Amino acid sequence: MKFDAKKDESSTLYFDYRKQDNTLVIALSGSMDSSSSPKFTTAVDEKLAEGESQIIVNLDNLNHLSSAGLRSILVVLKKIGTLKKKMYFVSSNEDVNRIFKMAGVYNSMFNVYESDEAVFKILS
Amino acid sequence: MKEKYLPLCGRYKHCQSYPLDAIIEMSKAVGREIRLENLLKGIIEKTAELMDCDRCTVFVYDETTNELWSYVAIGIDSNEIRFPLGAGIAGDSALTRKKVNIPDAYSDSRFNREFDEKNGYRTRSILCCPMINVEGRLIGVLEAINKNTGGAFGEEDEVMIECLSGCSAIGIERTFLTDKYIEYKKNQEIMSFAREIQMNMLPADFSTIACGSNAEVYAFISPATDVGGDFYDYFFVGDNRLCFAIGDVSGKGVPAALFMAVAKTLFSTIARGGATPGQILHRMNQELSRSNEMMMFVTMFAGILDTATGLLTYSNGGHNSPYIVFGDGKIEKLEAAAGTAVGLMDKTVYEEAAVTLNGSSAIFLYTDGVDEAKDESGRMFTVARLEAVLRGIAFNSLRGMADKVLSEVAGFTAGAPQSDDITILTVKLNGRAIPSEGGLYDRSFDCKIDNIPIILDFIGEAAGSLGFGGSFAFDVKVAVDEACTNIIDYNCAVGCKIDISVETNGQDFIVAIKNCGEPFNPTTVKPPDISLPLEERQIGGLGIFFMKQLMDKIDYESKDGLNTLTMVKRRPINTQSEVNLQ
Repeated sequence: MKFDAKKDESSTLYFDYRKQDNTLVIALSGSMDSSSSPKFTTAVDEKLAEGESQIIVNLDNLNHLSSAGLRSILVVLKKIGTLKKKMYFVSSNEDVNRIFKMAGVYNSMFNVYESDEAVFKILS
Repeated sequence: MKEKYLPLCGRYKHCQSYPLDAIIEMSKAVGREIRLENLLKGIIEKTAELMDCDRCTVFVYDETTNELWSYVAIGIDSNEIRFPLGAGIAGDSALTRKKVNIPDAYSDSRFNREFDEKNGYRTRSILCCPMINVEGRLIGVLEAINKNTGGAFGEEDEVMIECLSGCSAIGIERTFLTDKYIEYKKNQEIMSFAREIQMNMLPADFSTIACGSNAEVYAFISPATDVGGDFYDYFFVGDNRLCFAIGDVSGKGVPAALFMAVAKTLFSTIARGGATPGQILHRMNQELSRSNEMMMFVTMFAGILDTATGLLTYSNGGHNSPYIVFGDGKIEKLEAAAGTAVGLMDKTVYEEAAVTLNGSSAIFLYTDGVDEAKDESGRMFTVARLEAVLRGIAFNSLRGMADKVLSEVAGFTAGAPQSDDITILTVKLNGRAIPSEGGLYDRSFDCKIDNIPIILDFIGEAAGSLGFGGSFAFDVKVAVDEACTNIIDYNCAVGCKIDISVETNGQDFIVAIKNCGEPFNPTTVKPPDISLPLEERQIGGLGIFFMKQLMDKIDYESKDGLNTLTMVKRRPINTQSEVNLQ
């Protein structure tokens, strides 16, 4: 895939934010590898500090997810739980879901929804 | 108490067994001693007793000076006596190799009275017998003086002294051989020490090159004797000039080893000064041909490989042409820039040639101990056989290539003794992402976590162009990420590199990851309990679990400081059509 030149060149993980109602949707793209994954934790921390309390993380455009990426997702989820806030993961990405299933976290440690709409449906 | 022997006692049986008993007595005496001084004392005492005479002397023959010498005389403390062969009665006996029996010494012109006069002794009867070994070599003379009965020595005494001389000769010779053996053992120790010194002159830590550069080196050397005339060397001059050489000094053993030490030192000194291969051989030749009375010489090949561009510059001083081995059945002989051996003529000009290596080829250098290795009937291994072996090599490692050649040579010679020094030097360049015809991608990365995305891009690009895309490439990238992250986090030494090569045979996608840090075998890590929360699992365990799940085969090897993790993923049948569409 071609990366947008305007994006942070030092990272291979990119964030696209949109707000719908009182929910923040973070669409991730690029790679969640051992070097880029800490950016995810930092980005969520920033948004939580800005007062966001309900976040959807969309992984559809992720082209790489390693155990370090998975670890950062779990670190974030733990923090969300402690702060009593909400986070929903969306992925129709078969590659990503295969990794989740392999690690035994798919729909067990957290639910994976097939679309943003599916989450909004539950929320409404 | 044992009976005192009396010759010709009149009793038949006693007389018969007397010489035999005497020989046994003497044999026992000489068999006990391996020190010459003690042995001579023993012979003298026994002879005097058995011959029933007053005094006895053993003269030992000194081959180097053609003299007889003796330093023990019974009853009288005596220092060493020395006289030329032929002098005096004992000397005459030695020269003529005949017994000499004199009833009265003073009436014989050969007798030297000096000793008697000095010691107040009166020599009367003398019986001398030469001691000769089985090969007919003179060992010395056994001399009996003054028969105790007062008269002359008789015929029976002559038989007796001959028997005793035979025994004594064996004993004395044995002490000589023992001394020689001890000396030989000492020399052997010295030689094995010398071998160690010589071997230590050659670099053997191949990981120092692999570490921090994109070049790899492996060498093997086996001198035919304790020390040899073969050598190799390699080192970096500057950041990316890998300088290496292989050489073979004329002759064998110590002289060759001494010359080799000089040649190797000159090479290293001149090359480190920044000289080009041709200049190196030129200057070495000038140095070595000066005052070279023995006309020793060294055949050698010197090369400098620019590890950034792959350009190999080389010059050959009468050495066997090395090969570029492509690993796909093709080999190329580096025949250019061939000059004469180094050290013979000071006017020799050494030309240079150059060739560019790509990431999948290796340079194979050897000495004539390889192609001239002989089997028991004297047939040689030959260059043709070597070339056939090199063509058939699909090497995974340089060591694998050298081992293959060596095992073929060993198989050919089949136990025949090694006749010449055998040396192999191999050099390979990694880290240029230029696919060869065999479809191999090869690249070197600094050992830091920031490089993970670059590594993943490299894998993705290689996989795509080799016809492996989609989920297949996704899985491979995850496995490579896990492997490299583990290496960077736990195994990498400062300045280390990660070398990654990617290749395919059409069905299998093969990734080899090499690094020179701490050995760590991920294949032995137990699978994590995936029902546990991630934070409670073993560090790195999940990543290794991913690697194992995503790849079909994982092999790990740690050899000579280089760790190689090879991961294979087989193209699933049902993705064939998908791949073909790309």
